[in-house]
Amino acid sequence: MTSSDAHKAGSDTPGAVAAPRDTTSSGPGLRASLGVAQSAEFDLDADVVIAPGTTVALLGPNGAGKSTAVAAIAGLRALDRGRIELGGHVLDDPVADVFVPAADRRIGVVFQDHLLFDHMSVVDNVAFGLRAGHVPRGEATARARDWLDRVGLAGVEQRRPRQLSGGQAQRVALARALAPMPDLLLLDEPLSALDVSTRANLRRSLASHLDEFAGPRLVITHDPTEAFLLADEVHVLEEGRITQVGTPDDIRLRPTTPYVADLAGANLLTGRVRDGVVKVAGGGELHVADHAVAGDVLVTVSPTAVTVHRGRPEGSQRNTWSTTLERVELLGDRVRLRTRPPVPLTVEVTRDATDELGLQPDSEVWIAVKATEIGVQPDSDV
Amino acid sequence: MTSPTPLPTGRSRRRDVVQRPPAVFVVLAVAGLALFVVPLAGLLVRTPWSNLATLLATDVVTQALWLSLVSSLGATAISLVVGLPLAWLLARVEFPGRRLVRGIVMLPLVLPPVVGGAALLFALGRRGLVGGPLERATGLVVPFTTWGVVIASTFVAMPFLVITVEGALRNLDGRHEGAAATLGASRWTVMRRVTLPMIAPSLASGLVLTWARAFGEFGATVTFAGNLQGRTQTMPLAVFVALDGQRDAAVAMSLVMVIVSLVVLVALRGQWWPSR
Repeated sequence: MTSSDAHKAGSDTPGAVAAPRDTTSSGPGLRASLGVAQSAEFDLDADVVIAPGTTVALLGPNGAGKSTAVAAIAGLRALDRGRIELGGHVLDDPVADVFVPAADRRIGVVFQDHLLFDHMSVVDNVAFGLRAGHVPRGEATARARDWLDRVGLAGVEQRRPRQLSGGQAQRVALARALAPMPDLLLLDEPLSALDVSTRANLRRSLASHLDEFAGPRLVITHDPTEAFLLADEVHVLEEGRITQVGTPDDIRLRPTTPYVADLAGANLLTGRVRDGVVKVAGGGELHVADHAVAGDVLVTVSPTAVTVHRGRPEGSQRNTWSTTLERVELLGDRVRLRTRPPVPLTVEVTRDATDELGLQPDSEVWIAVKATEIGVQPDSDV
Repeated sequence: MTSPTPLPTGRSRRRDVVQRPPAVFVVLAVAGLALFVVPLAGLLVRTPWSNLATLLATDVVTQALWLSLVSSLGATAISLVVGLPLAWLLARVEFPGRRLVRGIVMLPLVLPPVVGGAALLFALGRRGLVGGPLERATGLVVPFTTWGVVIASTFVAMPFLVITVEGALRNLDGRHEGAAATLGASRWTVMRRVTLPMIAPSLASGLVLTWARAFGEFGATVTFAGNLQGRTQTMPLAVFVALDGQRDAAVAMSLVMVIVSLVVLVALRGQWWPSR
């Protein structure tokens, strides 16, 4: 519970879910240097270090090598180069000719589409890892029931996985991965198979389960929101290479590649919506086009959907306000601006526009955002 | 803007029209079904119900029935033991000549059984490629023995198991096995608790097809194992012999085979394909 409160506390900058922890210590966490020769054009070369009790997100577009990374860490495929070390044990090292098979790695994996065993009951799914570890049947079942209870699924023990909703299946997959007490928790696109409202619900409970897990945790995702809300540190993976590492705020506010700027640079705000008006946590209001949503929401605003003016913009736009610029950064032929309150936003404009408007830090500007360009999704607590 | 209006009342009628099967199909399908039903009916009409028990209580019939059951179940068991690994290798392991191996495994499906029996004879006969050395080494003679019946039945029936199971393994989402491995399951545990249960329906139908083919096997058996009452004369052979002069016995035995087949089919449906 405390963890979810902590998430709420930093709500004006939701990326700052927790203070970044030291990940450079040579402690008992995960130290992976992943080298996989995928094909002639593409290979994976990525270093990931995760301290116990820390969540790292590997964020990247489809085809960036995320699934390869999952398979390599889980032990479902061998490295061509590099080394994987978990808790001081070498799991894979081609040079030293060491390869610990998946079954002996003690890594709990929550797979993208859950991969529950449909020929067994839910409780047998969760007990599977314990049974494989030679825990007697009765005890394994009892512990599996406990886990189901902890993920809020008491009562579905005897159902088949196919009878569950997507959100329930996801929680069974989490319980199944956690039950054998793994040394590392690996989540592959944990929420992407779910619909939007389920996703919002589960993100909260997933965050608290992650916090309860003492070992290192790795979340693989293509969804920046997921990465920012779940992780202490984000590694951006593009075409098999890590292109940026930092706290969610670092990544969002100071993107170093166009991909991060486009995708991860999206403004993410929390607030409460009523009748199409969002009261943004930390101050300010935004009019949105979607009147169907009510209550706590996550608001996303693409940096390119915001326009900057020297004078009060003409026309009927309702989301206009004046503020000053905190930062102006060059990013190729584009420029990223960071505005000050009432609603701090990251804005992206062309260089021509900045030159024309003479924008520099502390310039006074008017900001305009079209209501239709603002994404709103429910962010209800479970 | 406008709320959706209720659908016109003619809806169900329209749907009937759409769902009505084409008349030609119905006629052809009935003709196809008749091909199965009419011979069965012929058999039932021709059955000498009054002295059925006497006809069946002969040594010839009981021995043939026993031999048929033992050899067909034996062939099914052997097919399971060696055919399952074969299917697994064909489905999961890339090796040079895999297509050729698959072709060889499928060959008995298209090969005339008599040719298969002859081939077995040339290979396992007393002067055959393997049969000679085998007899010299162990004193074991395969042709014209009950073992010969089992081997001939396995030869013709095992492809059904391999083809069914291989297809199932190919279609299986192998990632479930990976998930099981990450949970600490050994390869053997993965096989026993994930792979086999996931292909269980296909495995069951493969076994039924294999058994049925072995139970009805005639050509390869008569060629390779001969027609020795009590040793190699299975029900189909006994029926064939009886047709020449003892029609009533032939009909009675045929009826027994129909009943045994039906019983096995229904029993397996109930036990191995639980309705989930």
